[in-house]
Amino acid sequence: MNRIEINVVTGEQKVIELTAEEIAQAQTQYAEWLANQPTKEEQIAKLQEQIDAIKGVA
Amino acid sequence: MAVTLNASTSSGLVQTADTSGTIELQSNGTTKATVSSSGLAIGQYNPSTSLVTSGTAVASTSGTSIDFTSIPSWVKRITVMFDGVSLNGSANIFIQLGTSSGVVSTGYTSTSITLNSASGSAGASSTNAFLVFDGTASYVFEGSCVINLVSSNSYVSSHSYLINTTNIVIGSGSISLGGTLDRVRITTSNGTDTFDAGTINILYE
Repeated sequence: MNRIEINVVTGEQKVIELTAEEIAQAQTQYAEWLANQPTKEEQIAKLQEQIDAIKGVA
Repeated sequence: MAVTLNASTSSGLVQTADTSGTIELQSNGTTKATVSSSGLAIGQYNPSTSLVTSGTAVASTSGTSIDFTSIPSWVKRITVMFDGVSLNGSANIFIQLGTSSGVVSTGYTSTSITLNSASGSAGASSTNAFLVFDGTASYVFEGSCVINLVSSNSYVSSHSYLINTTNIVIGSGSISLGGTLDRVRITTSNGTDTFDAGTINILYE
């Protein structure tokens, strides 16, 4: 995996291979983010609340 | 009345003087700019070069992130443009700012949602970047994210992208950097999905 780096002043473009540490850091950060996301069940419950409110059930 | 400096096509430089405290710059007898006690008045601002600087467009057909570096310290607005940009997976797109110390991946407030003209919306939030909601590899992004300097290293962003014929993505965010901005990174939320289509560039001003 790599990233592309562009110097906006010189226009120089480099392709830099990611280090194992950079990859691990990104994956850890993503796992933390995923853990904080609502589950499908929670999302469905929220939508159901909205549907009920529209129907006047709630 | 005013002091005048006239660039005449027949006589060259023609000067007149008075005690008005006002000076006019003229082109062949026509006043183009006036300096007086109330300030500078310009008849028509016609710069020979753009005040907006373009970075270098890069093909976003590979790589897990694209960095635009060496952004000058005087910059107050950056526009990140996506033209046909796509990922090979369903990660969200991250736009991150950075300083000479590196790219900043914490401290953001950001939310992004996709709006479907027929069936509603979905979205996500992040503190790790200005998040651009994706959710499927089939989305192709056309549009821009504008990042404005509010005050001393504090930035706000807003974006809108078309992602297919019936969906758009919109969102906003903010971040306070610990130093002067000098780079922008476009990457993915999982760090492993790669760009597989399109062109990315920035404008700065």
